[in-house]
Amino acid sequence: MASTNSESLKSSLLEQIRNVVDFNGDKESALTQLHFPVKKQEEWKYSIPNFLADSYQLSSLQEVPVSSIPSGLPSDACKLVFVNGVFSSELSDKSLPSGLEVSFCPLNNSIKPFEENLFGKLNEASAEKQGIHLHVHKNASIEKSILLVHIIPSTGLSSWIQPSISIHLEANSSASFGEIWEGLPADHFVANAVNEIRLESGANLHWLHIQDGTSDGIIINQTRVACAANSLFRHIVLSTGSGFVRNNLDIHIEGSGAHADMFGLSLGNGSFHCDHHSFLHHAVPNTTSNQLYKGIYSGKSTGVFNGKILVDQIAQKTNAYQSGRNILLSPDAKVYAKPQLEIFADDVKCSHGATIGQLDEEPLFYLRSRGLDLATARLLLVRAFASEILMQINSDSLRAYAEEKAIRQLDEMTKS
Amino acid sequence: MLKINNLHARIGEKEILKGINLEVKAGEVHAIMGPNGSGKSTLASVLAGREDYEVSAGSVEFLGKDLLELSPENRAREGLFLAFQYPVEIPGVTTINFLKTAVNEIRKYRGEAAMDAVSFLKMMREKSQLVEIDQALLSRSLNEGFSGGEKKRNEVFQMAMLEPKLAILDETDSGLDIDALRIVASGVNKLKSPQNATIVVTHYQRLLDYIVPDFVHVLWNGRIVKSGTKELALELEEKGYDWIKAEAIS
Ligand SMILES: Nc1ncnc2c1ncn2[C@@H]1O[C@H](COP(=O)(O)OP(=O)(O)O)[C@@H](O)[C@H]1O
Ligand SMILES: [Mg+2]
Repeated sequence: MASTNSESLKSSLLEQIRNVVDFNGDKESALTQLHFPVKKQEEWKYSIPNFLADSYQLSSLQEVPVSSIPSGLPSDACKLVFVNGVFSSELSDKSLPSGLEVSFCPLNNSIKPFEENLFGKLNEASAEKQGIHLHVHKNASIEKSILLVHIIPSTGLSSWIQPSISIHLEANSSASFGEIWEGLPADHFVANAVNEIRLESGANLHWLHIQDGTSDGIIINQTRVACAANSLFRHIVLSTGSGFVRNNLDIHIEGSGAHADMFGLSLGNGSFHCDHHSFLHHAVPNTTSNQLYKGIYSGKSTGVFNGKILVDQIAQKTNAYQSGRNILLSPDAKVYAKPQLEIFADDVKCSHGATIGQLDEEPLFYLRSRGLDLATARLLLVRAFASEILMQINSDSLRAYAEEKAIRQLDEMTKS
Repeated sequence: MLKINNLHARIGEKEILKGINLEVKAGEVHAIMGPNGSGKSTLASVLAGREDYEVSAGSVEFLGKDLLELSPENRAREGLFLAFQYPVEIPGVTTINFLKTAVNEIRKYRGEAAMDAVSFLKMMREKSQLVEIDQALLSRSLNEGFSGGEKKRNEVFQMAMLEPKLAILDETDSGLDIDALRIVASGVNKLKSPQNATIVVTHYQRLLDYIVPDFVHVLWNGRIVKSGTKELALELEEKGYDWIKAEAIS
């Protein structure tokens, strides 16, 4: 897309945001300095920069029937519903688990300010008005999973939505969240989402992010996490469909004894484009992390994995593992993997690796020699491949929910 | 049951089978012996339908059908079973998991009703006792972390479950201690009937003390160079293969 168009898109979005929130002059001028990404930027190299339409409708809360909430969500969970990125108290569960508080609040942007990042800045601008803050009290241990359910009603227009959610777990609390994007409209849309997550010492957070059945939409998700001493953070993302997904997950490990797990499962068909950028910052001694991103791609789908691990000079005794494993089911599917280690400490254990291949012939032949047809054998093998990620989901009901999504997608992908 | 006629097979430019002729009738046990690298596993793989090999000449008839025209899965459904020399490991797929599907796909092919979960479990219990395999193994990832003996026992267990008409056991005896060998052999013997047949590929005669063959064939350099009865196996044990090679060359 020509830069003039992207400039006019930017001003149109700013104009629309200005109708909702007051801008002060500083913010305005900071924004005018920024631009939508272009292909020559390393960070966007593989993620086609010309995916944006010429104009969007900045969408906000609107009335939708209760039936817009996807059926089949785990019934034992607490639901917080967002329509067009804005919290809907009407559709959300009225009683919250004890220890959890929900309030309107702008992002405080304390984890890592968005700098050269127009998507982040745009989100921040409207967050002044529609940001939501979830607070988990000290020592609270929330049994129920908390689902953040995102609904984008189909309007026939190209919607641009900007959910901004901050989560704060006080010391020694624990919670399990599910960020659910499913039943997305067939219309073109942009979801420009930001999550800001802070774990105090000893906190334990399990975060399942489901981006299911993306079609013509674009999801840009930026999640930034800060982990204090002895906290435990697990992030699992399941991305399926044929749309465009760009996830930036930045984790800053700032207290010793903390551990972060990052798992991803991307199942693409059609023209699916799924880009995971992970950034893991070990900033203090004695911390650990583990990353495993798996992808199965068919049709003309593309996977991108860019995983960076930064170990500061003082961060001795860091253990950091990263691995990416990908299966291409069709000759037109592609994967770009770029692991990066930047290690400034000397007493650390770090490893990374990435594999890209086809489904192995040996197991396929073995299963066929037992009477399974090719499609069934393939399905069995891709399910087994996927299950390594799905079994990392702690909650039984959330795991079953995610498995159902994954299996349906895999069925679709392996039909020959 | 099985008629192999002048079978030639190659991988890339390399011809491995150079004209195999063999006929197996229902109720018979055939042993195929021969030094390493002579083409025994290749023959077994070609019969099972492995696509790496190109059949360049010859024909194979199985129960009246052109075997070489069938996909690997349809060969299995027609009643052919291969116990692999090197069973593959499949992380995340358990034996029970795929065998239930396999049993039912085979039944479907034969126009029989699917087996319900209860009957399947019952059959599994019976057959696992028959080959003395620990049931816990069957709900673990296939062959992952199995000992050599456990892998082979699992192959025989699958054979018992699938009730093939023709079973090909490719060196199922190698890597087994004498007890395991006895168990595996008695499993095979119990499954023997006048309606089915077995091809035992081995290069030791000791297995043939337990599974008594009606015929013994020596495969060397891609051809069956000698056939006889079980006495031939004893002779090979005593004299090695050199005299056969010499005989074949002259
Ligand atoms: N996939 C393959 N690629 C190349 N050569 C092969 C392959 N499989 C078998 N061969 C060759 O074919 C010959 C016969 O092998 P094989 O059938 O395994 O013998 P056996 O089972 O009698 O020991 C050997 O020389 C072996 O190296
Ligand atoms: Mg062999």
